Amino acid sequence: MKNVVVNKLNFSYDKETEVLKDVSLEIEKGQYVSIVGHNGSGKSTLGKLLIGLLTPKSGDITICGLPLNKDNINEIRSKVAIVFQNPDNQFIGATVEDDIAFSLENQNIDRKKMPELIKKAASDVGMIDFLTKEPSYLSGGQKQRVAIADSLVRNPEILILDEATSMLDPSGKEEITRLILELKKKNKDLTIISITHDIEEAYKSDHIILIQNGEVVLSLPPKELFNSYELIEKYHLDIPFEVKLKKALIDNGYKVDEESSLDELGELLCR
Amino acid sequence: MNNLTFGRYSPYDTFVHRLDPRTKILMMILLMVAIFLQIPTWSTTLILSGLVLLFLVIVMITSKIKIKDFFKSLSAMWIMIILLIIVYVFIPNPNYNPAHIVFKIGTYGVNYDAFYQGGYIILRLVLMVMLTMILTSTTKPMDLTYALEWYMTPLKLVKFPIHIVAMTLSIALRFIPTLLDETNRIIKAQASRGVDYNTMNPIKKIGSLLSLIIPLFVSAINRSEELSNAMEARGYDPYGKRTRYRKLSFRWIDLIAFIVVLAIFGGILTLRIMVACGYNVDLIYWIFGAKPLF
Repeated sequence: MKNVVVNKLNFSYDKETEVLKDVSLEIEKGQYVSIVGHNGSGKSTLGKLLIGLLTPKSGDITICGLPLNKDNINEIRSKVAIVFQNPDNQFIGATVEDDIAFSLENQNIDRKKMPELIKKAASDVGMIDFLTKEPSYLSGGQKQRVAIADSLVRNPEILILDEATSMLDPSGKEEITRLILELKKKNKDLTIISITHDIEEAYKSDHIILIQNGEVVLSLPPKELFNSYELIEKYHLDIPFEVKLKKALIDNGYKVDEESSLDELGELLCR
Repeated sequence: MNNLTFGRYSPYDTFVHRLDPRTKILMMILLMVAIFLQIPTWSTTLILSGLVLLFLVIVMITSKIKIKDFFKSLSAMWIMIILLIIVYVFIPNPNYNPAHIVFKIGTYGVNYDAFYQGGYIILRLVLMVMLTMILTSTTKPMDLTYALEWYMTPLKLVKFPIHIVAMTLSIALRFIPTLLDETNRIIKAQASRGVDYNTMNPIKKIGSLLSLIIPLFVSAINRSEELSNAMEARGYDPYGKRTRYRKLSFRWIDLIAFIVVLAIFGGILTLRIMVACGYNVDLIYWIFGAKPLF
């Protein structure tokens, strides 16, 4: 089933520069898709369009079978959750539990049911011990975990991560990437759209969509993309560490299996 | 930036902390009114203010507010206190009793009624500071906004958007620490580019403050845009129906505290009404049968 269908989407902030040009894409239910692109390529704009924060100039967006328009927007927003870049600017409640409760309050959920839902969401992201903490006592990674909990508590079908790791330190970044993979494992039906320029993170996803100058130029699984040096050079992409390591090993005469993981490569080196 | 610690919420679990914020606000207002009711004869005023002071000190101790912090917050008021005394002592007032002149500077007689008046105002100020400090350091800022929202409920009848005001207030409170961090970061960034924030030259000072305020405002506006996006994406509709996670509850401990404060307020109010009806309410006279001291 197609969860997100975007058809010939055009968008511009002002009259001169077109930010998105004829963008069409389809995302399957339960897929983990990375949207990559350089700064100013329009990838964050695409994220905001998908959740109806911006209105497209032309073209249509269909989410979970519902066309995105004024009448459906609230229903679509209950199915799509988005985590933004800056951990501070999406923390609305005074404490972790209040912040998670904010999402529930908006959905008009009975207050007696809230504590249970909050606890579940917080433990899903590993923040159960921080429920009464205020944002100033949390690290960036922890705040982003709370932002993910805010999204999860609403039971979304689609989770959009709009550069959610770009303002975090390396350990926070890894924390969040690992959490996303964990969530994916637990809930096979959750569609994850990660807008990122972190190539390591994109490498771990099921599918990569590359946007350049407002146009979708590539849409293929990461293994295919990074096995083709032609494509990497053509679009000036970084090479993930795993791919680099494999290439270096092959160049040095090691026999490397295409499917082997980083751990296996490590073992191979230590042998 | 460090003076802002005054009255900051300290997370203990004492009797006062557990009270309903609505009760606390009401009690604070009652006590403030009681403090400002003026009752003739100094000795009575002194005794009554002393009793209120004693009560507040006991409340402060039980709610684990450090007396040291209280004096620290008073230290910011020193200039005001000195100014008040100067104003009261050196500005002639026809109401002062000419018999009460202590000493003369040239032809101007310094009246000790002036010291009494000044001292009384200062005492009131100190009591007010104590009250606010007790309220803010035992109540979470968010609980205060919930309480204010509750008190504004009648305005719903005139279609006043109480919920929106309360949400705005709570977001403002939530962002105070974030913006303080930001301010410190900008100060450091600008100082490293050569802006001198410690200059005594007032014109330079204004210039350096501008270099702080403009980036701070720009960043606050950017933040607000991102925040509104995040709120909208999470389904916030200011005019829609929402449930509430936090609920305030009035319990028996609130009733006890309220009765105590009401007794103090009622006592002082009764005395004031008796004065208005022409009774002599000199406490010293009542208790000891002695004549008024002053």
